[in-house]
Amino acid sequence: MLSPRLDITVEQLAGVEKCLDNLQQETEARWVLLTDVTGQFIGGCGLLCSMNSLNVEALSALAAGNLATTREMARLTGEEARFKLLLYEGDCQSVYLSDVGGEFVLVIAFDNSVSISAVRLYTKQTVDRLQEILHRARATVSPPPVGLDEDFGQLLASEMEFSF
Amino acid sequence: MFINRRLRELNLKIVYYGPALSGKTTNLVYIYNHTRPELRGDLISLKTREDRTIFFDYLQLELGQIKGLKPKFNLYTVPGQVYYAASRKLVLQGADGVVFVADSQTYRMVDNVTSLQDMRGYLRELGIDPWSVPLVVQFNKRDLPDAAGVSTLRSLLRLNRSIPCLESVATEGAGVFDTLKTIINLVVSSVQKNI
Ligand SMILES: Nc1nc2c(ncn2[C@@H]2O[C@H](COP(=O)(O)OP(=O)(O)OP(=O)(O)O)[C@@H](O)[C@H]2O)c(=O)[nH]1
Ligand SMILES: [Mg+2]
Repeated sequence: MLSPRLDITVEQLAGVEKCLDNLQQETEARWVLLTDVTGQFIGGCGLLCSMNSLNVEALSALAAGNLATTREMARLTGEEARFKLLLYEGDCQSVYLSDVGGEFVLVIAFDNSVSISAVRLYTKQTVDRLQEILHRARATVSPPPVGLDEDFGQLLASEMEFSF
Repeated sequence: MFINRRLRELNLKIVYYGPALSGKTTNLVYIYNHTRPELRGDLISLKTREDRTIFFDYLQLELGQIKGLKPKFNLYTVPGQVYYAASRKLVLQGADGVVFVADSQTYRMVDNVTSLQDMRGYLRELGIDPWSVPLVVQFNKRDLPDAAGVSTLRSLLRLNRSIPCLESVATEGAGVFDTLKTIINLVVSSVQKNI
């Protein structure tokens, strides 16, 4: 077995993004981001859109590492269930990380003027909805993407010679 | 691997693994410093004050579209120090390919062997078959007087012929990009075979 593949169809991704958009609007969040536990950026909205896309991916890697660390801590301290969320409080903004079915991490950043209980409530609803969509994505088997064929490897190799 | 069909992106994760001080971070730093800015993100390093990796280094590289697909590579290093075992396993999660950075110095041989064995154990625990995951071995620090011969290294680490081994001096960049290209080619051909 190799690492499991995550393959999300256009429609499923649209569903995910709609959930994230709704959450951002309901909570007036600064930004919302979804990553998988391996640190792979899946989607996001709000101020993220004005950030360098590469930094958004770095943010995903850090968020995933963060929740993975808490989960490991839970295990070592004898907590049977996972620690499901993590809250960072800054001077003007806070960041909230939630576990989505053990496979994904939802991150939401909001101004401290926003009520945390509202964030908690809407996040919980979003997590449930996301879990449904992502569960379906895991179960869907799509044909390999067009372009990923024999020539791809060779073209990639020559592209690397040129770029690196 | 994450396939984003809307953006037509192919995202792959490559982990640089190896014993403490073998030169994993040095590889990423060299890659970062010698890649055109538009092809790379920031280099994120979670490290101690003494520049030792405490959790991971992270660097993202991307290439232009190939046959309408955009390849993106997420490069990670693990912390090599013995007491960061838990962190090493977390970073290996979801790896599509591994570069094992060995320290060529004779006195580090036991560390190399132990580290490679541990890695295979963690992969197994993560449900990844250590014998089928794409693996490239880099014999680093070839510039040092105490560096063991390549065939000695190969046999001590029990690397069969099918595993590509490259020599490097990461501080000078020798072998760094060759290693990167070799693992990427291996990962991509494994993706093609298994998709
Ligand atoms: N002579 C020599 N020194 C090297 C080479 N590669 C790395 N080093 C040095 O070895 C030391 C450790 O390198 P790092 O890249 O930090 O090692 P690491 O594997 O990331 O170590 P951890 O983060 O603790 O696991 C540094 O002082 C590097 O400059 C090499 O090829 N030759
Ligand atoms: Mg390091």
